[in-house]
Amino acid sequence: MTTIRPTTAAGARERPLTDRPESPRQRFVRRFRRERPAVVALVVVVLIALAALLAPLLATHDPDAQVLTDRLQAPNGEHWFGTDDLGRDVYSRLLYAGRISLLAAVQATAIGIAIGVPLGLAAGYLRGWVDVVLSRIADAVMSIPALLLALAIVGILEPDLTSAMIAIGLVYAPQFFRLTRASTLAVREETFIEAARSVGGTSRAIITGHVLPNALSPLVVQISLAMGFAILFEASISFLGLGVQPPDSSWGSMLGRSTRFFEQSPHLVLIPGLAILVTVLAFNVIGDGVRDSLGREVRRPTQ
Amino acid sequence: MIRMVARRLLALVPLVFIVTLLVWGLVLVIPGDPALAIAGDSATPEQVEAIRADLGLDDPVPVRYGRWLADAVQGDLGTSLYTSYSVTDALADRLPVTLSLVFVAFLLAVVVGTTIGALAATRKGRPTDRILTVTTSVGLAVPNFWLGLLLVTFFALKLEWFPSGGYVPFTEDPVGWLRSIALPAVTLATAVAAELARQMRASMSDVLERDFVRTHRAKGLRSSTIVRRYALKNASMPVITVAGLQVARLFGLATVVEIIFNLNGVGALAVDAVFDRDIPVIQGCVLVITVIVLLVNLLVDVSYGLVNPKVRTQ
Amino acid sequence: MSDALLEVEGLAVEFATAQGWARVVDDVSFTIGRGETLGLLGESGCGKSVTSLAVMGLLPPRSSRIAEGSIRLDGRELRGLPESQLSDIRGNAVSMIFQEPMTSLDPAFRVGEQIAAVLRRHRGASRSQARRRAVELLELVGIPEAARRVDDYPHTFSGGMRQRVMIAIALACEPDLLIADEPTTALDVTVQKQILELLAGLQERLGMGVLFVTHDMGVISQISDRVVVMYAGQVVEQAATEEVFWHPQHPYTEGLLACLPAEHGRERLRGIPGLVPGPLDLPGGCRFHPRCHHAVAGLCDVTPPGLDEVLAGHRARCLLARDIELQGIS
Repeated sequence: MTTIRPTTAAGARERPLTDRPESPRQRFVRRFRRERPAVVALVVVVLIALAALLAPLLATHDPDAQVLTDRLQAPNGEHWFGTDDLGRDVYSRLLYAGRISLLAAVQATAIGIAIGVPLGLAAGYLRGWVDVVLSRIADAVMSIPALLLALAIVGILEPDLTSAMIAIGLVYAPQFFRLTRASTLAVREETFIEAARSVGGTSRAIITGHVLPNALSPLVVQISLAMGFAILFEASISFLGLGVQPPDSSWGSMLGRSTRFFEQSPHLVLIPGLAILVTVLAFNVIGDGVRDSLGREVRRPTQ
Repeated sequence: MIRMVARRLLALVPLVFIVTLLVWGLVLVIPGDPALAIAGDSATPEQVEAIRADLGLDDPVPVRYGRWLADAVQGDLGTSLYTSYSVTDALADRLPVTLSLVFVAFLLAVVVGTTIGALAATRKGRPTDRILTVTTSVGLAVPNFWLGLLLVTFFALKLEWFPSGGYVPFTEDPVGWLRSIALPAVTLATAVAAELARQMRASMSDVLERDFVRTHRAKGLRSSTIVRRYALKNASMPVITVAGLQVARLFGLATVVEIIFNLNGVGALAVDAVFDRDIPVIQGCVLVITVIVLLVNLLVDVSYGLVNPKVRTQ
Repeated sequence: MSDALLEVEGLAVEFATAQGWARVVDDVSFTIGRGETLGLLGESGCGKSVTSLAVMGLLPPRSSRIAEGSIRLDGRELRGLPESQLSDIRGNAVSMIFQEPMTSLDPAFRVGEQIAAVLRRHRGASRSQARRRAVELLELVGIPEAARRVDDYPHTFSGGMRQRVMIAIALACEPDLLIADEPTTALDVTVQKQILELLAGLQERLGMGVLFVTHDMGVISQISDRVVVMYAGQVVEQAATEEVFWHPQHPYTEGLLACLPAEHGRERLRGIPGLVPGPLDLPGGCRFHPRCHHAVAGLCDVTPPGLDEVLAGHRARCLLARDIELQGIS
């Protein structure tokens, strides 16, 4: 993603000279600013990420300290979000669990990108049998219900957070594959690729210099949606007890071990559930906002 | 029409073949000695040897796959490593539960989702649309196991309108069946209904701006007739495609829902098998569900052909 | 004037924009008698389509409104009628055909059903009656093998045939007034000619009034009895067709005539320099003066002209109409 984009660099150099038409990036920023909900969602995500990052500073208690005399307290002045069945402070645990939930989602998404994007580039750029084989495999993976496949992969590997992340990444990889492949195929037909090829550009140079930057915009949308998806999936898998293992916890596993106490202490279930809901909602809204700001040409990333 | 179905059915064969490769190939990914990994740390060498023989691990990979595939095609998906129960029998026991759940949830999602989406499109930009759009966004983001817990607590434990779990077969007691399936189906349907509502809203807004809608208005047809009779049929075409894709999602999410509502379906079977690392059961669940998903997708495609005259007359 | 079929008087239509309501049609008046064809002529964006949609009661609600004026059909005021009563009139007493035959028919329904829907709505026809009548209508508009084609979907028809189906729909309830908004613009020249002949023949047979909206002077000359020329939302000239062609009284009309090729073929308007101004950046004085080579500084850019009777039955909105000699065609 740190690839230097020649077009943008040139645009930046020329901008002071005249009032040229704005660059795609400027136009995107201007449009995105108008997407009010998406801007709010971005702020929410940044705040949540900061809260997770600064958990040691923001936590009021040791998240693992058990005070059995303080079990199942409702939210109060000492314990803002109450305590759980072992007398642990829910507020502090929520912050630390958020770290794991977010980190797991980032890693799962990264795995999905690491698998899907290069293969998508290869399929779209090389075409032929490579494309046929990879596309068939992607079709097959996508026809298997995602959560079932993720669970199966977790079962094969070993139930823990790493397995869960790998599983989610693998399950989501075909989405990145299809998107990158489609963008690559579209860009491939553009004249500037022809031009680059005719002046003797190597495949690698053409891919990194032209194809990748052009596939980037729809990828950003997909990444945002993938983050929401990964958080939900990690939560589901951990809720079942097949993801993160004690003493660590994520929002999903916090929920999983609290269900028995729902009637006595509803906050134990409500709070982590709301944390997941708000975070996923924010990522989805950002994704929609980015898509709507990118203009017609990339409005519809593959489903 | 029949030729189209036959052609689509034929196109499924290679896809299912790749799925079997993937599902069976999972075994190869097991790190280290699979027999050792499956048996666990406390197993005796004899137990490990037994598992090895059970799985036929000493044969070359293609032979093992070929044997498994040949059995699978004949309806034999192997034996559970723990219960010595036939995987096929276990699945046959559990399938009715999952199929009922997914079927009811799908109907619910289609009816509720398309209605909400169509309503939002006809009120585009007005308060009704805003409220519905926010609702669908929340519906997409809500963790369904959490939603299920809230529903159980409120409607089953507090109000006692529905049982909190368990399955009643349709053949025993149709009303009891519906009551037992109602809350799980609502839980399962929420995300899919939200997705379909989004698609329908986009599709319907698009259709309502087409020239032919203006023609219907110029004919003097009433707005409600135009929306319900004409625009809805046009708008449903892209939504049907999306609805087909949602079937896989429903079967996936059904796993968690079955656990929460204590339904003994295929999803719950798969989750148990994952805990036990009962490989043949996991493989059987994934394979059978995927084949069902593909067949349902085919049905959805056929129904698309029924709605779209261009496909039908080709 | 009381025997007029349609009387439009002082019509003003406004659209909502970011800068408030913009007036896109301003003080438009005309009448159409029974059996008469009125040509409404102008470049795209001049407000002619908006005028015809206003008559149909098909302006988009909320984002547009009729700000002033009246629209009377058979002496009955249509402005302000509730949607339920307007929809009783549409497709029944007043029908409309549109520019784009390729997209104006519903792709998901058989053409017969689309014709039958009008009859069932306004005539309370039974399913089988409506179907029989649909076949008759398809025969009337010249679709071969109508009895078989009635069950076909629109995508199996060509553009010209689809426009015939549109005409069949419009004529199903034998309307008093037919509004045709550029009905031939999207068609090939030969098909265009056939459709025009069909319309002219049907009009004679059914005695309808026709409001024919077009940008094409050639088409106007073939079909209309009288012409209303619009520019930037206003009527700039109004007279019998021959009058307008032979003795135009507005420089804009003169410009339009100058664009006509010697043979009245299908030629897009061009040759008048500049662009039609938008409703939010109208020039002061005469709206046409920036593009007018007769314009007199200090007069045309200051005083807005009225629509005055220059010759008997011939009105023009030009301050110089009596002073300049304009070139018609003969």
